[in-house]
Amino acid sequence: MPRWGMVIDLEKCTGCQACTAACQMENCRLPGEMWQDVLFYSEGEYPSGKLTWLPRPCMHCENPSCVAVCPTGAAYKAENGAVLIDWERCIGCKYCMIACPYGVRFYAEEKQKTQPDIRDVFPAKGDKVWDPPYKMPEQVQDPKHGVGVQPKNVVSKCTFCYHRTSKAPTGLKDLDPNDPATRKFTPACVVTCAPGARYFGDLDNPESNVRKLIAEKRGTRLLDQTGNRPQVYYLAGEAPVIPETRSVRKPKQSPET
Amino acid sequence: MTSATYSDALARYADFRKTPAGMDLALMVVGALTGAVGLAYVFYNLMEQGHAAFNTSSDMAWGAPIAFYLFFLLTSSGLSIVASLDSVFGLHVFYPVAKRAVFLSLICLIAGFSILALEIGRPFRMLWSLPFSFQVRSPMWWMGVLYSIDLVLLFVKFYLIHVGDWHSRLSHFVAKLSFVVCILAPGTLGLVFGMMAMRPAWYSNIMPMYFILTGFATAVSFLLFFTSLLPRDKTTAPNVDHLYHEILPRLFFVVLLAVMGMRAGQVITGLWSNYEGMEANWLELSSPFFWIEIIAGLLIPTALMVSDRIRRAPMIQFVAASLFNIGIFCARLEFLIIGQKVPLFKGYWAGYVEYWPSMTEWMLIPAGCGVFLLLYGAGNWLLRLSETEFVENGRS
Amino acid sequence: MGENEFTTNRRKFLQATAVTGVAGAVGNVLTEPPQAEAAGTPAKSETKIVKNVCHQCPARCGIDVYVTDGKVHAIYGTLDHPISNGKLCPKGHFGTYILYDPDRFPGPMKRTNPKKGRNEDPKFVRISWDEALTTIAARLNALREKGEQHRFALLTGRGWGNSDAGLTDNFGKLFGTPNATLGHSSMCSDASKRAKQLMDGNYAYNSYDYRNTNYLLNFGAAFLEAYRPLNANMQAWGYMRTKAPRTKVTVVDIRVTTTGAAADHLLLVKPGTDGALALAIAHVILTEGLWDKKFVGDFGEGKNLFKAGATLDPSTFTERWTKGLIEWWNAEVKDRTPEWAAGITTIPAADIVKVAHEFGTTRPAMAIFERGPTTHTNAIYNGMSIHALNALVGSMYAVGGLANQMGVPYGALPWKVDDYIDEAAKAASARKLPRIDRVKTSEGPLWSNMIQGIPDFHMEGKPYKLDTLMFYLTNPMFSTPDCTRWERALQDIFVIETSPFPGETAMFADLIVPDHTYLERLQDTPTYPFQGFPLAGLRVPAVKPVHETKVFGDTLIEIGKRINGKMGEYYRQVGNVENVIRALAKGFEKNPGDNGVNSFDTWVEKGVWYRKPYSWRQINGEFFEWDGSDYRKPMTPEDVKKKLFMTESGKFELRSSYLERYADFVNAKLGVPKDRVGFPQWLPPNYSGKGDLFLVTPKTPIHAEGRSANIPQAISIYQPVSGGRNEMFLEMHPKAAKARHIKNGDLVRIKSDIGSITARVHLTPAARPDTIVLPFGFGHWAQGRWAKNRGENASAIIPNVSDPISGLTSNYSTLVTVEKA
Repeated sequence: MPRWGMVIDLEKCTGCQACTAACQMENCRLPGEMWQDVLFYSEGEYPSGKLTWLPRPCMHCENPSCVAVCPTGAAYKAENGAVLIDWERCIGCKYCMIACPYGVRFYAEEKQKTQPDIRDVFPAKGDKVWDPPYKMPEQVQDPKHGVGVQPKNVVSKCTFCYHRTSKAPTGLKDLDPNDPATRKFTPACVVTCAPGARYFGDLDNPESNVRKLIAEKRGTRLLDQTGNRPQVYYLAGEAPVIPETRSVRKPKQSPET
Repeated sequence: MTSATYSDALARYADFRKTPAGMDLALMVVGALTGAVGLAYVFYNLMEQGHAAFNTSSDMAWGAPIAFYLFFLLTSSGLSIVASLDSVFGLHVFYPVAKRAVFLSLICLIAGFSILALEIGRPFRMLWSLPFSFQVRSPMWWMGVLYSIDLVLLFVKFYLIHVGDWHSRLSHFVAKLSFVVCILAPGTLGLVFGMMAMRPAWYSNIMPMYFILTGFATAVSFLLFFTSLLPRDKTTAPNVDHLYHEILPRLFFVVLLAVMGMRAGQVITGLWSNYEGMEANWLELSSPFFWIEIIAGLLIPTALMVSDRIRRAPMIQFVAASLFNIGIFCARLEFLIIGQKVPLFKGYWAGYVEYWPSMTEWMLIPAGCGVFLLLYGAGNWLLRLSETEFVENGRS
Repeated sequence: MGENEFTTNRRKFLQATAVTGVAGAVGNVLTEPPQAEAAGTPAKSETKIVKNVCHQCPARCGIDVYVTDGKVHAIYGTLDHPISNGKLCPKGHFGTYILYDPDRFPGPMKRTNPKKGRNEDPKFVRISWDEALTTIAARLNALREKGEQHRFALLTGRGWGNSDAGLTDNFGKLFGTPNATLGHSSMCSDASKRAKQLMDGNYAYNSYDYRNTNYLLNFGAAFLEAYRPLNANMQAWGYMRTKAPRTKVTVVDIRVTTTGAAADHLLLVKPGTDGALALAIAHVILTEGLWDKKFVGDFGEGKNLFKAGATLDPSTFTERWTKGLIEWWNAEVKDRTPEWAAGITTIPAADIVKVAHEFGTTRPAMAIFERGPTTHTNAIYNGMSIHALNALVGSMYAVGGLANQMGVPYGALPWKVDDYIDEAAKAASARKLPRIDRVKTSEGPLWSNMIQGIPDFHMEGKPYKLDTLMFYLTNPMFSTPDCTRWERALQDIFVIETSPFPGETAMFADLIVPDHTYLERLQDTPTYPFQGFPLAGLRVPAVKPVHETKVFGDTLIEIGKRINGKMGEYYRQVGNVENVIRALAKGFEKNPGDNGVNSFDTWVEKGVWYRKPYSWRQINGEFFEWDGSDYRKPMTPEDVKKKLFMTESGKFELRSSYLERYADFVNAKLGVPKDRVGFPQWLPPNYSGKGDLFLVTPKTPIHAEGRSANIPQAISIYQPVSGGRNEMFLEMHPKAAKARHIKNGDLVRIKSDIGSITARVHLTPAARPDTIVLPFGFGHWAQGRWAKNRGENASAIIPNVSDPISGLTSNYSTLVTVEKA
């Protein structure tokens, strides 16, 4: 069984957010529910202001703190390395959202920032959050693995496109979006990334391209001090754009003051 | 048996033939009214909007309802500890409030669980999916297990006291077990937050201690609050009088000092630390909840409790206990906010997470307090909460 | 379903499509692997991939549309499509949303409230297609009877292909109006095309060989945000920035864009002064002898005689493929020192020298530019000054340089338009009336379009008043400068809107004849300038139309059929767009594409026809043509003049003979001395307004071509740099804000000479203190429930000023004041 992991080359990433868009549409996400977000950071002053960005999927940690805190076992580490949520076990306690150091979990039962509320425009019958006309075909939806239009009152997150990756034949080192044979098993964000900044492959296979990239281009993990050991690696290349902080801390001598 | 005999049998357990009057009636009426309004509002909005009726969000996942939950659960454990002080430490002085404490503990726990049921996404699913998951690494799982045991023990304990069994081996065993559970349960609740290294403003190995202590403090203030409402006259037994006028206020003063000490440690550490996420402690300084906690919840009550003479007055006790409870509720809320205030990887544009409870969340206060008062009034009316162990046993 | 089963009946065709899917019929079917095989799983439906071409911007990315049970649920780039290569930009994925937009018109509608205004409900009522088409035809027939065909005009935007917007030319000819194809290019990028034409003779956007370039000097083109084709640009970026050697990139812009932030250097130039910077770079390249001698030529002695301030004798220099270098030097470049440019551009001289060195010493290198330098009154001279750099470093038609786009060898249409021009049409053309937008009149001899002038021209009644105005894929009421003029102009015009969406123009329409969205269309789409080799995509309907809509081409054909006389006959012959496309596809029989496309059916299957390579190349100052295996067939100067440098001299003209023909006009409009008109030169821009801050309204990747306004998903991720999700913020430097007592998050009023709007400030220390930035996008007062009333529209306060030469709007050239609202 492969242990899928992702490598994101920040030197190539253009911050266009196509990954975010592809993910939202592939996975029937609500506006603003960004399983795959691109975070922007800006500091410094004219004429030397700095703008950087960081694409941020779920890290699918080796040691996921979200899974550890889940009181019901709804959050789990799947056999192929993905961290998933069983929407049929989740009780919506949101503890995993508290415990994820990367802020990649979402709870749809909140006031929608993008108004009018799209859930009222495409209302669902029954237990689902909404019913978008472009939703994933029924036979692909898979609530046990947190795939598809979600039921109400449960937590959702990136699945590494489990409905795609889990269909991959065994023995593949990498899922290459440019190879017609493996494209359909590759996560949506990797498939669409125009500059080719994303790679997806088996971290347990020392011959995989992702392993080579991590070795050659010195892949690094976000907040590795948490001990969660992400399965998403960043390549910073000549452009070290991994954010110094996770948030917004401003210098004391901010020119804004 | 005839219906009369059923009625007689029931009367041994509850004084339903007595007409409720005075403070009991007032508490029940006020409780029923505010509770009905609050619950109607909350239920209507939850039906209409689901949990979007709360201002909690994916960034501020836990808000005011969890603050209530913490408030009631920690108070419940504190009350249960008070009630067990006799069995565990031989502190007979608390006998006169023991039964009341157990009852209050029970309704606090029920109130806490009820609010949790309104807060979590799928409360009914929790009933089956939590207990048998054996998620031993999850502090929340342990919390669920321990509080469930706590609930059972409280029922047993209250039943035993209510039928007059204060001193059987079983009674003492239950009391001791309850004491242990009531240390472990709030301690585990402390761990739910204290173990979260990714939330530095919470991350602390003394969080269980803080939770146990503040829970005990609110328990004492609850007792003070409710006993201050009881009629006091010359007929009041001396040991009861001593407890109400001397022991409880003095104890309250001591726990206030202890809470202030711990809080000072937290605030100073928080403000001093450069570690990312800890800046929430600075942001806290501009939060009204923080200042209500510090001024109304800690400084004023402490000032009122300093003097032996002043703190004897039921009115003062009532005011101090009320302020402290409001303060601690604000503290619980602020505690939740500072842990989540600094977002986890939301980018420069996200800013700090803003949160202010929605009307539905605020209406949980009348809903919860109303039902709580109704239950307490009813208990006081029906369940002889002032009962203490029989003096003729010669042990008091 | 074979070819024979396609009937000429459009309706039936679409129904058939919906049942089996065109793509399904021809074989490219991807059946999703089965989900859980558990009992009780609903019967598996087949997922089909239908080929289409994205319409979120003009790049023409080939897309795979995933359809299951008659519903579109995903869009991805087509893997074997040369532009998309399986990739997409963010907008591409939102196409499903365009299809299922809940605010779309359900079918043809007519207005029942005669009053027109922002706050007037048009009170649209549903009508049948027949009624709609008959109504239009009746109006047009009436105009023909009165000999007033010119009073019918058709404004077009982003329509492509011979089966679509390409039909309008013939419609105009047959009907007898000069106004059947009034494009929107004058608010797009006419100036860059014109500037290039004046120097190299090609009135076109270039094709670019990005993958092989080692230095990209980018003036005001949002390469990673809006510059087209964005998807291909980003693919090239990923390659350029990690290849060996890594392509170095310098960006000249007025704000910190993602393009600029990702580049090696970002020079934050004062708006409208890019030309001065380019001239200074040329100055350094010449004085330091860094020019490409094989392309440009050299001094006879081989010794560099360029010295700042010193004039030279033209005879000392032997030019190869340029014309007028020494005259240009004498007239302009000799004085354009980096120190001089620093004073104009605010870029320190040392930075200019550094970039000039890098650019001049790295080969291949290219200079690209777009609206940054050209949406100013000095557009043409800024553009020419930049394009001149491409000659100096020899990048024209070179590996890693610029070329031009080749056309598609389509089959000819079997119906000869000239056979159907009747007396009415002949009489109309004999009158030689100018277009309503005054293009090619003495007012704008070099304009291609002047959409932003139409409301004024109509209201003035000069050259005449319009009677009926049809809009196709353009919403000038929102997007042209001083856009509220349209609200007055359209009062006495019968307006026909073809948009499927309830935009601003629709709110002033008398008749709505809604178009299909692109996923419902059958349409050819020849490529936007890309890598030079010819390429034509095809849109194949993925699903049955969601509403009672009709593809614009068929609407036009159906109107044509209802026109009296020979015109109606012509359109009855044509029948429908499918017949047009089948005729076009005949051309592929003789010219099969690299992917085997040689017929209509194979085109439907693959979604694209293309044939590599580009035919010509310049190697070390020599031009060669592709001989079937390599660029080995030498070209004579005559060949080069005919095919590549289509100027009077057959060379890259650093003194434009074409522009010199208009010396009097340029002198009168811009005050340039007549003897200097032909040179790329510094001409200060004429900023509009009395304000003290420049207002610039750039595009972001989520919204670059204006299609995302009503897409909640797009709104929710609207970002860099001032689009702070859900709301558009105004970028303002803290110092500029402080001086105006403005704090972060304040609502401010932005005032120009013609009006004011409000916006919320986000203090941006990285911004130029003299420039405020409000990204283009929001501010609709119609267009759907999410678009409506989300911020205010900057177009309302941008005065209608244009570059007199190209006609391009000067809409990044506005000076405003800002105060707390």
